[in-house]
Amino acid sequence: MNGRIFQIQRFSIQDGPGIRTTVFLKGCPLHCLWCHNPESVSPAPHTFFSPAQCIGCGYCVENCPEQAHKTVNGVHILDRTLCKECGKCAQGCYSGALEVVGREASVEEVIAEVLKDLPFYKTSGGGMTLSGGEPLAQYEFSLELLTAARKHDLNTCLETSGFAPFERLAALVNLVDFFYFDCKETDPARHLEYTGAPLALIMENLTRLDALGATLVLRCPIIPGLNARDEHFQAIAKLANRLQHVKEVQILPYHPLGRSKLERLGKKDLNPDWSFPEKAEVERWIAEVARTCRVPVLQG
Amino acid sequence: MNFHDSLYTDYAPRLAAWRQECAQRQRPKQFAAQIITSIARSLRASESLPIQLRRGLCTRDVLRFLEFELNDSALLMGVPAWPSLHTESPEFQAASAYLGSIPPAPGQTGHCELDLSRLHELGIDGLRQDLLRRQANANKEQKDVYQSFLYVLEGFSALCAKAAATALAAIPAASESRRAELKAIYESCQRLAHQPPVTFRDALQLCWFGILGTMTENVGLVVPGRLDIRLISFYQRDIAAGHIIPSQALMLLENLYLIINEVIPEGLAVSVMVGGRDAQGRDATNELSYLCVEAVRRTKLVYPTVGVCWHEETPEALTNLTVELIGKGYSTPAFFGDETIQRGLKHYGVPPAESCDYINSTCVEITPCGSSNVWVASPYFSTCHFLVEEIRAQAETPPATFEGFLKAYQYRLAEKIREGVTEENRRRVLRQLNGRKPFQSLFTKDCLERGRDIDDGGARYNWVECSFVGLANLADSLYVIQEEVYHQHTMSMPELLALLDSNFEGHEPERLRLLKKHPKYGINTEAVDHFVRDTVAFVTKECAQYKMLPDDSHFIPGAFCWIMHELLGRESGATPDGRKAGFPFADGAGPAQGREINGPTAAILSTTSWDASSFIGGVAFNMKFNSSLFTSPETFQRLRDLIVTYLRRGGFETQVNVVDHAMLLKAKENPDAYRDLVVRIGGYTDYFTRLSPEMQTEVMLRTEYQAV
Repeated sequence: MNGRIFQIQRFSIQDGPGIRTTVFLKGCPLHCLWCHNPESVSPAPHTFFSPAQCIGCGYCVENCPEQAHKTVNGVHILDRTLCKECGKCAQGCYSGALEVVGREASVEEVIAEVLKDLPFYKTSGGGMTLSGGEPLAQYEFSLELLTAARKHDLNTCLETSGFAPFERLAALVNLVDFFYFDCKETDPARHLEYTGAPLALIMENLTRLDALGATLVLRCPIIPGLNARDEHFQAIAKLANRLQHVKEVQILPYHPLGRSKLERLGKKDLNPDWSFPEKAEVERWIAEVARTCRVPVLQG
Repeated sequence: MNFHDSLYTDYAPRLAAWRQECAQRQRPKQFAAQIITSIARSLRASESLPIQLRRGLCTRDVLRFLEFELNDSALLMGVPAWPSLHTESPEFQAASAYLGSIPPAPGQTGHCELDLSRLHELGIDGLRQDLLRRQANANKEQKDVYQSFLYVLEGFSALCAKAAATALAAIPAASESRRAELKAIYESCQRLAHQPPVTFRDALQLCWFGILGTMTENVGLVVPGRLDIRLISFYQRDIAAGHIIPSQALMLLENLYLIINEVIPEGLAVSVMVGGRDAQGRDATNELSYLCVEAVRRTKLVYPTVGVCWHEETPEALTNLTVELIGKGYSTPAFFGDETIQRGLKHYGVPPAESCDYINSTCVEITPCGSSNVWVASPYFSTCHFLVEEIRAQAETPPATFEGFLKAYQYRLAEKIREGVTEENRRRVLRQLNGRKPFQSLFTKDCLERGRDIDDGGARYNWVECSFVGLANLADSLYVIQEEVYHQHTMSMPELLALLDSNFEGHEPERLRLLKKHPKYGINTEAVDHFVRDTVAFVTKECAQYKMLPDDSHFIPGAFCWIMHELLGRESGATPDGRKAGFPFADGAGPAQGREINGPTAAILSTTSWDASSFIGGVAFNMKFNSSLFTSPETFQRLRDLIVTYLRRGGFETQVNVVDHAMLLKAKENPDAYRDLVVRIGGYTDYFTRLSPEMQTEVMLRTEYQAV
């Protein structure tokens, strides 16, 4: 079967044990204000446009069926209101200015790519990580990928927001070695406001997944001004303590690098003032969670 | 490793100050210029004698002529005190003119580890007796050779004695604590002037005097080599007898490293190799292996490089110590694949008992220890330059098929190899006729047994190792020609030539098409990788049919580059892979700059998709990373996993750069060479060069910040 992916990243070393290949699936039901992979939200392909890379060869202007590309006073303009994201412009663009993000790929094709690095997984105890977007939004595709990875004895990780029918998570328990489960916000009203999704289902899924014995890593993006609150930190620790199978809590400090991708997507940056938190600040967050948490708290 | 004993901690500040001086000092560009007058004087005085005796006398005279200077921190004697001599002085001018009139003895020198085992066993006096015995039963020619060796020993003994005298003379003016150190130097050098080395210090001192001695014969790049194996018995004896503790051995090793930096001219490489296996195939790692690496960590200067000779039984601790250094930004430690290299050496006829005993003779060119007259990097072949020549030659009437074109190119390459062999053999003839190196000969197997000088074919191994530069660019270019000219017919051969001749001026879209549309070596695609494999097989076969003078030795290929990928790249026009004129070629066996777009695992798979064992001339694979990738002990372990997987797959050699700010700065200025540089911060991964300038600045601030 086919799924929608936007990247296969080899030598991924921060998404689970060993050297891994991370498959990024496209499409996510959440709309987090701080999303650093904004191209992953919609299931459909996007055209990335980086005008600084354009060398003015004119290929896109000639080949766009919608006349969305124009050259005005020597400057390359992409009119996003006309663009139908067909990707024809990018086919002959070798400058890196235009690039289609997102494509259909079969399970076989993805697994073949993942298996290329088998020698490295063997040395390092690594394997495949599914990330996104939200892999559970393409549940059947994820299921088949994980089943195939298991067949080849790969270590498997799943990064998830946990926002999906529980049956999907339950069906994957025996196929996934580590669930990297997001804990974006512990206050229900704020969770809804920041991510567009209700917290209750996620919490229920997390509790039930834990009860099934799944090994969990809680991943907590921390955004100054939104969830960098002591009561949130304490709630994270409390949650990790309450569950039986959390092996680690990871604090992911906000960074504004997704801004580059927003520019390429032609989308407005709604939070232009947000920036990197200070190192001391991050250390304070970690200490605050670690103070009452019985599992290791690390920067992710 | 921690060395907290007072011996080391008391000495450390003095070492640090010396190191600081050493790092700032301008090193000599040329060693020989300083001793030219002394060489000329000696040779003038011996014009009536046969060349073997003249050279023996000359080496003796120069060894006698050497003086030493000793700073207040040195524990070993080693830095020559050069008499100040202006190159404009009439004396020097006359000496150069005289030496210029002597018939030339061209070709590569050095690139070897000496065999000091006879001195270890017999000492200078004992070896003299041995030589006299041999001389008594020798023919006329051999008698001269042994006589030249006797002259060498006379000079070598004088050099040791002078070193001893220098230390002795410094004692009266020295402080109480320094006196004991000077006394130790004195006693050691005095002993070496006649007797075998007894202590670890003696053996280390002798190692350096050996290197210095060959330099007087204008032989560059004789290296310490396998220090751990050579010196372990001395070390263990000293430890057992309570003469030394590990930190003292470390101090002495650091002394050797600093002296090397003081004396060896800049722009070269000096190798120490550790680990590996013994003749029975057992792991040879010992305590000194760790100390040799540790000393590099502490001196952190350009010399020496330390190569870990890795195999499956190499202790994790040695692997991890070296990876740790690499991760901390040391670029000098390298890993060598023992399995692959030994397989290659056996392929060229080295018996199994000796195939374990090799060194990277400076960078990655492999030579057997103690028995080598192997000329490395002789010559360099610019594979892509020949390709462009072939395109030019074929432009008017190109072959009908790509296979036809490839055959024509290979024919040209084979011709260049033949010319290379002819030239090196021409040099070998001149060398045999006009050159003699009795000092180096005396410490190179089997010159002594044969009674022949190294320049006269006395050494056990007389291979010539050549080097093929730009293999990745060649593979990438061949693929482009195959696709554009022959399969897709998007370009004719004359059009391609015109494009190359224009250096893509006004044709940037075409250049980017050639560069980006087609897969490249380094992304792990068989369609391109096979061109490197085929070329390697082809040149291995071609080289194998030649015999090198004087003893029908092998002509052995390699892909070693030193700085030649840059030099040859600078001289070469544009190439079909989208490389502009003057841009460096790919370094060693790795992908061309900026083309590892599938990351390091793919690059390793490409690089190990062909058997490197026949390329004993050296194969290097450099990896570079931004430190943002390695943020925790676990992620550092991944670097180890990468390296180990590379070696397990038959990798020949690898070294890694983990750089922070400086690399990003370069990438910002020269994005074309850094297209594959991945930065990763908090789950976000992107190519650095694709970030907007503002974001690049932000990432740079960030990585700098993280490094603090």
